[in-house]
Amino acid sequence: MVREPGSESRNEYMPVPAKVLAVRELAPAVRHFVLRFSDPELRHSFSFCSGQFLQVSLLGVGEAPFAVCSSPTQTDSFELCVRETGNVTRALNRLKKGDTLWVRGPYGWGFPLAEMAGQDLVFIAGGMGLVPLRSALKCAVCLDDEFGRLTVLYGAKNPEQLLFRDEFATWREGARIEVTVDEAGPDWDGRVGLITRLFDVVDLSPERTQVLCCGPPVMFKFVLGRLKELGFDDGQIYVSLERNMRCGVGKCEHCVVESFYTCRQGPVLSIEQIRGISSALR
Amino acid sequence: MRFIATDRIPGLLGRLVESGMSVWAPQVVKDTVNTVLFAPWTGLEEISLDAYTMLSAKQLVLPATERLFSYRYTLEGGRERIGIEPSPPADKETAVFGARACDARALAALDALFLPEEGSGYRDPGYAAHRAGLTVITLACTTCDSACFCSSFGKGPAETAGSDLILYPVEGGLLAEPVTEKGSQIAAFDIFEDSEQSKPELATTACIDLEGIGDKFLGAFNDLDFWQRATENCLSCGYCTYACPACHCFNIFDEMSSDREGERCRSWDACMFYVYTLETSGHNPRPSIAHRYRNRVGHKFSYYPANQGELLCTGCGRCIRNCPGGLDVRNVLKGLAAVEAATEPGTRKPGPSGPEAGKPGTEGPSANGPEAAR
Repeated sequence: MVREPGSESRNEYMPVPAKVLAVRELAPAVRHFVLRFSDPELRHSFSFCSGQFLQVSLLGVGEAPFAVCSSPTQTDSFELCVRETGNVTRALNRLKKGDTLWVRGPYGWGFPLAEMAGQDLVFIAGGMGLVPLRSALKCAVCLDDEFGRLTVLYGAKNPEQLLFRDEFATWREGARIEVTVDEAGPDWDGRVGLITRLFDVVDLSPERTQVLCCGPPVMFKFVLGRLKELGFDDGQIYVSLERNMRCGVGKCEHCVVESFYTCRQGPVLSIEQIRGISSALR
Repeated sequence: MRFIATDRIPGLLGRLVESGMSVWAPQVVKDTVNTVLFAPWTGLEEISLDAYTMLSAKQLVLPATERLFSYRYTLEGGRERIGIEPSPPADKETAVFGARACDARALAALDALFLPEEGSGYRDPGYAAHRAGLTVITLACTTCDSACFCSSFGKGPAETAGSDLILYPVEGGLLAEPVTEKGSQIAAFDIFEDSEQSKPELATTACIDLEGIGDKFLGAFNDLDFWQRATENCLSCGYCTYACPACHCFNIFDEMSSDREGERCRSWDACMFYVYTLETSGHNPRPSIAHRYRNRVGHKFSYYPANQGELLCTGCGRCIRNCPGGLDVRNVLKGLAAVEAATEPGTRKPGPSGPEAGKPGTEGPSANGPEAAR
């Protein structure tokens, strides 16, 4: 999967097989897959940046874009997180250990972690938005010395929907994790309320902090408002946009937001980069 | 100039077929009164050069449905194996006879996206193969209808971009003027003769002012009332996108021929459909017809020109001629200027992906992007 942009002979739409090494249920209708490319050479040559996405498919069913949720520093295997919402995700979530799925990519731009070295990082995730951020967080934890304080603000609909809950304890060794849910159950002794309330319990230093944010559009609106109040500049805030991406190479036009292609110029963009693109966060 | 008599046109097409080309020419669709489409010509069909084709010639470079690869599950020694086979790029030489300047120009506009310069984007191998094998024989327009507006785009009917050979209707036949080497080779056929006739006067169509149209569009972007009024009669049927010579959206999907085998295909899609931008989460960034039509107009007159340096409209008029809701993009384009005048200047600036976007090296935040990862 080493890419040569401009090479005419390569059929970009050809996927490569990967095998399911492990699969588990993370939340109702959400599954976590550990995968490995069938081609041994590819296992080592495959590289990506947190926030980039893959087109994942099952032959005869179809293709859909997914952010990788494992760290780019993890070699030999990679991980995906799939919530069942349509035909492709329903079929993917029926896969068992040893089954094959098909992958092409990675596509787009991820979080520019290399440029963020030396800074504090705040990860702000709403719901499934944790998926690409888990990759970046694990990468940042791995490269411990490169960053200052790591903080995760994570909001989900209810405790059941919290993803990677079993990993929070490990993450807390290298990062501060603050979690809130919209609706609590009887067993929940954590915070209840919107994600913006978590800003009250953490102490951020806008002058040396970069923000990595992924979640539904409604969350962007409130989170960005709060970050502005705290004194964050547009250039410090990176968001990962969801769009209906099909080709991944800027031809099919599905993912365009005004004049930019989410698949090629995103899905991760700073608020500065999308200034003036009023429909980007809608 | 070279000349071919009207009655020798089938002879010319025959020569092209003999040379191994697949020849497409406008023909009246069987059992219709006047529906004309480009269709394969094998020698017997009557060609129709008077009417405009309902669909453009883009199907010859972007087929309505095209296989990307095929797959097959097999059993080998009791173990299931899956094989996938890429579709070989088309190697057939094709000639389209009787395209119009607007059709040909649209191909040139599509080349900018699908065949970008080395290093500035993915060169689509399927498109490249079709395009390399295509010879465009254009019929220059000496007449036009009320939907035509190609004169708004510079040379209008005299446009040569995208054509290999241009034929001008004159008394008794057609004058031939080559644009490319491919065209010269055809004009050299002995079925043509030398002629002293001069080129006829070409049509002048309705004309709209496209000066600064991209900025005018951006000025009207946030006036959703304007877009709602513009699309009051729009059915969101997508006809305009299919008929458009420059629309090129596609979807990717799998088609099973049995539970053991099938293919992954791409096929024309339409940005006017609700599901086109519908995300898996249920969120839709373009929920209304007004949002979708605004994107369609913006893509043609602002975004694509900013990214690719070409307008994505050639004034062929197909979206006007056959729209069941009677929408006329010309009225919308004229209306843009009025909205802009009513909007305070500077309230909306083009974003960072303005003219620089799409150029090599400017399309991402840092060196941490995909190219670096690969």
